[in-house]
Amino acid sequence: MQFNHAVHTGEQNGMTCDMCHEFTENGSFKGIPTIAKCTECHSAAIGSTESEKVLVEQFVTPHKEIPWKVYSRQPDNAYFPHAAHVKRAEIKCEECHGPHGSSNTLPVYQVNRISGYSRDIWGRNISGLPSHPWEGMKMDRCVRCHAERHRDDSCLDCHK
Amino acid sequence: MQNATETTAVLIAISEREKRPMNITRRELLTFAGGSILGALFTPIPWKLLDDSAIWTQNWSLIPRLPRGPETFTFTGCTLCPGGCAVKARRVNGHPVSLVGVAGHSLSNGILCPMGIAGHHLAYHPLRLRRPFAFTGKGADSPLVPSTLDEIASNLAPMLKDIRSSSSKGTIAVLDQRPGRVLSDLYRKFVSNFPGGIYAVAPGSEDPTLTTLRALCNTTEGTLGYDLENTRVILSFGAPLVDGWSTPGRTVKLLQNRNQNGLKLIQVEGVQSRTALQADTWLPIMPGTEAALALAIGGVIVRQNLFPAKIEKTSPDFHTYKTLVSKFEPEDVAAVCGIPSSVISETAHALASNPSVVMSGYDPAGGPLDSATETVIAGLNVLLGNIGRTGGISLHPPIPSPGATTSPAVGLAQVPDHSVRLLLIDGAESGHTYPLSLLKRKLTADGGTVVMLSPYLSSRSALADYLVPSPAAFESLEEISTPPGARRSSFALSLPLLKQPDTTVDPATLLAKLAGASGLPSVGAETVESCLRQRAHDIWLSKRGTLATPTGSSQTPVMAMASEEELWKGLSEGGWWVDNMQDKQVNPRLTLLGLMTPDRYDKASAPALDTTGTLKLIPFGWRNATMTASVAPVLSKLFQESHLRSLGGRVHINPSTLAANALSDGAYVKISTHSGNMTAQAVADPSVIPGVIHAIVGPSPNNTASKDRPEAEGILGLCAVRDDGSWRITEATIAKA
Repeated sequence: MQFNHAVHTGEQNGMTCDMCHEFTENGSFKGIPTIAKCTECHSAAIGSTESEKVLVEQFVTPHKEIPWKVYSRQPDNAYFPHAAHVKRAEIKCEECHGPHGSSNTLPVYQVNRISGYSRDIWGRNISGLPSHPWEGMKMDRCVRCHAERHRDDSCLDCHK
Repeated sequence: MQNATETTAVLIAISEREKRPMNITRRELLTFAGGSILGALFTPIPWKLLDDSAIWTQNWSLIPRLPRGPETFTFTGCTLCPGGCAVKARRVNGHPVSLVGVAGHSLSNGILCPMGIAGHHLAYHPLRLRRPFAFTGKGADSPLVPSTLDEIASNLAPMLKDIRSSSSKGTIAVLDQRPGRVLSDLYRKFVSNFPGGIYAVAPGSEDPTLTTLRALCNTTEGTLGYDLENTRVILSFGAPLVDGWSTPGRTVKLLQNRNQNGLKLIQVEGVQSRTALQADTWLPIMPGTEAALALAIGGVIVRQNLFPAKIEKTSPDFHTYKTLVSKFEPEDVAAVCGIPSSVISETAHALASNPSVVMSGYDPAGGPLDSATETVIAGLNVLLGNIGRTGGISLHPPIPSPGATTSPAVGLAQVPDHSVRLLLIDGAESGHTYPLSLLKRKLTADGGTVVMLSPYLSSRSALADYLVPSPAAFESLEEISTPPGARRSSFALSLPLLKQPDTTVDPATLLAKLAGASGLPSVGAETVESCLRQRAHDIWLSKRGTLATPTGSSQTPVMAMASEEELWKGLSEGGWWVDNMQDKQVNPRLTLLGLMTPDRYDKASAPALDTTGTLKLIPFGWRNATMTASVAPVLSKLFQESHLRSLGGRVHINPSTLAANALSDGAYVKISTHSGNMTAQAVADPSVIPGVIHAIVGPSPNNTASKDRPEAEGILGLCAVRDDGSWRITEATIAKA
């Protein structure tokens, strides 16, 4: 199934990131939306694309969660509070995730066979030198951003 | 011709060399390998491999993984201390991942302390007991060997039968760390089957002022509580009101709203504690002179006729009290306790002209003040007419309970010395600690036998002969009964969030096992759940109170409920029952001094100390943080990195006292008392008044490695325990270690 972010965030629908990637009442980040969120609009098929058909028939109707691949999934020992970064520090989603929200297609999910995580974590370039400022989600990037913003760091801030 | 010959020779030589295989020398090989390695370091390959391999090691199958799945929320209650705060647990795939307070909850007001926030981690504590153990001897180095519940019961059977037949020199006692639960009733029933059986409550499990007032009121019925919501002046002798007193959310909310409710807090304490910092007035008192201050305040009230007229008639010992306080002039007391006489007078006037409450502090590690001091502090409430008054101290009906319990509750200090042959220590925690010597002297001369229910191996385990693993917090169905000092009786359930290991033992199961071993019939309910259902049944039968939903959005009177199942269902969903019965009438004949004779106060005005001589050693702690095992290791950040909380093994001393003893900040000092000595790190702390060693009985969150032997008792081992069970102040000296 292909997902088109641009259709959702473009002029026709005008949705913002946090309409699907929500924050809960207690400030925690829900991350990838559940099928219930999709069902709010797609309880019946909108349009006739193959992806729409798959969405409705295979997931919405049987109320089955979509096994999304997450390009930015961090190791379990890394704790990242979206609320602190998005709500408090007012960092735009694009600063870390790039222009993902305006893409027409999802990039191919490539897994690192050794680490088991998405290749996007290291960055597509094996040298580790990003082609774009938002590429890569390694710790050095966290540290650099914190240093630029004069935030004090402690191991247990992120590694609980 | 010659040139042609030479040219031919060279060509032949080249041809011959080309025919030979290429020779790679060892040097060339090593040079190539070294160059390759060096060159590879300038490519991303080794660094990327290193990074990937590091992450790969986090993905081994034996490493626990965070669950993924649907997110749900459960309302429950925290049982780490008697405060019983409401908890909202976020669960992923049924597994609790975060705990927060419940906004809108009428009792805890959305506040949850750091201990509660990390409460679900404690089940995984490195010192967790996962099966019964037995110590093979009484010595400190006696090994801990695995055992079973049946083995323990059969080992204890002869002793239990012996005690039942009255042929034993000692008796059986149960030490309840959190009285007032349905389990407490079960313990009382159990010990009542044995001649002289004792049901004792642990130090710190009850409010000291209210316990003393109960004796002054000479009443056994009802429960005393503070009507703080209508109080205008609180005089606190060290009560940690904003730092873990009763249900923290209650007092924190009151003090946050003091601009609206007009509440004034006067904190009397020898250190500028968190409560003292937030008080309207901090009275830095020389520890040990609290009785003198209370009597001086009482003297001002009596001399200036600031008390209700009826007190003179209703208090049989009013004139004795009047004579006693006449000896405590503010000017004289000011020189001793360090509080100006004008402030003493102002405090007396503030108390007398407003709805007020006077309370003492039960430090989680320092324990209560001595009984004589507690009496005159509680007596101020009697003198001011605070008992039974709005904004004072009320006597409210207890939680409905069906049967009378046959064994009365006594404080641990009141248990006769060397009278207990078999001691059973309850697994719940009061959040307070006490010197083991207080417990040891209650045991028979041979050291007695101690069976300890506990989720963890702790410093207290050193005293045990048998360790029985009880469920950790949030692992089993428990109750949250009325917190100490609460205005109304309340009841809720603490619903489990984690699966209880099969090897843990429900306290009711242990009692049933011991009853069987001693030839007794069953003591009642077989499980904790059946006990709790019985309590819900009793509440429903009484038709008292209302059941609030967890978030306080709606309330249903019990009277309007169709069946007891409806009440149980509401409680099982995190609901909270609060009583609405009217207060009971207090016995009008209240005494001011109780059984205390005036001569007990002859030495109340102790002289100020010389800071170079004997100092006052005062242990202090933060509720629930006085033992290693009570603190989730993840809170090491709180204690070690941020220094928001003090760690054990440190003593806070005023810089002038340190200088007078030729010591400096951070130096290791040897503290000596009559009970022994130990080394600790000194912290120069101007918030501690001179002449005092403020010794932290705190946790060591990282000290979790040893499962072989319980950790040493530490500073509490140096404290002198008095006959009344108090250990607040001990004479001590310090020197460079």
